[in-house]
Amino acid sequence: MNIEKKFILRATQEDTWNFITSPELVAACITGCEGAEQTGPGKYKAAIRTKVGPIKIRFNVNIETSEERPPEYAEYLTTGEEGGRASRMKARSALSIISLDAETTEVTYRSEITMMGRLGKFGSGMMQKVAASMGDEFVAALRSRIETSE
Amino acid sequence: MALTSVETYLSPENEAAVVQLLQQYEDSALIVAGGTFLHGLAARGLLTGVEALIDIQHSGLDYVAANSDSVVIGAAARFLQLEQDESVRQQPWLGAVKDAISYPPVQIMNSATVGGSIAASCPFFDLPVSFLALGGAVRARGPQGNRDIPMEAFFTGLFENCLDPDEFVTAITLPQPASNSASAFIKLETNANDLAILNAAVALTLDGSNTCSQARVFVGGGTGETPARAGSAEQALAGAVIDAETIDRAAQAAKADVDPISDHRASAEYRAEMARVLVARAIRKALERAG
Repeated sequence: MNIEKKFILRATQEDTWNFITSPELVAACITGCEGAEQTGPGKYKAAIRTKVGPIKIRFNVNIETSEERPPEYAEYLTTGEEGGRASRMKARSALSIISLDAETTEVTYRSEITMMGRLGKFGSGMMQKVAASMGDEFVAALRSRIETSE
Repeated sequence: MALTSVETYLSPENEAAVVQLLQQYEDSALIVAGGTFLHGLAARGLLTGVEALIDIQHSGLDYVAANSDSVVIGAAARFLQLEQDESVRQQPWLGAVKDAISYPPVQIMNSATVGGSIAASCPFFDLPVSFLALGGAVRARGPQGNRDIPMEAFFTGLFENCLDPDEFVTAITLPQPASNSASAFIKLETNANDLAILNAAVALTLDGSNTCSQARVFVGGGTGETPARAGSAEQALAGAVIDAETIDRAAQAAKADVDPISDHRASAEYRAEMARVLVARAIRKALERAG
């Protein structure tokens, strides 16, 4: 499943970079994200608890920075698994932050996600719609924090 | 059903008792009626942390009641009960409901409930799309009593709806439209036990000269997390004489109204094209019923 999203923030490129690469700030924008912490240089871990109707999901995820060019580009490899359950996920993501002018920045992220196990039984078409609405929620939360923090 | 975490099976005798149990167990309890949806999730290992099942089959909700201005369907009424109801069989305005329950196999007809098909909030189900076209409302019972929720506001995402954790669906209300109204539903499926690749429902009210005074058009089954309202298709129909040209125009509009998913069963392009075809057929079918 591939996800791509582009949005514009009223923030400088540097502020956007600093925000998006701070695990605790990003975690606060993801509903159900707990215990985000840095485990080493460019390495992070977190737990994400969410619900799709009656389906309860808790993923432990590890994120590793595979390439970083501050303040404009980064690539991440994310792996995740549900504690004791059969689902596993792997994602390769690319993040690009482009300065449009002194006050506005364009953010693009692309993710190639593989889901295995019980959650892999959902059709990727529907998962894509669900992921898109979660992405919209994230961007709204990010925008409200980064744009009002100035 | 492989629900190994379930410790308690409860069978409350009335609506108030159901609400009490929902409050007591919070999010570790699930409502069960026919069990067809829950079984589907459980068999795929998707249900965890469920300690109690609250069975509403004996809570006095297995009725279909035709009133002077509406038809009210209890949440625990089975598909078969709906199929055997005289109004559903004979009233042209309920044609979309009659059509939607002509597809399921006998096992589903005998066990699945109307409330379950709504509460599941599954975008691939059929009855919700027919109820949406008929302007139905969901009656929910909670600690504060009953509230009626327009069905369009009820569904909020994949398997998600606007119910509070201590509320549950008790009935569906279908308001009787003006005379000379008719509706129809069509489902595209690969086999008789399949969820819809796409489905569509149309409800029309006509005046004496075949002019459409009101139209509601919904498309589901792969249009996204919830069924989609085909607003421009409705606009193409409302106020127009329903002839071949109007039907073509409305069907084309329906195609543009939807933003379907692509999956292993069908591409988004195919689904959009089928939205055009199914909406055109459903309009014709509703027209025939209106006589």
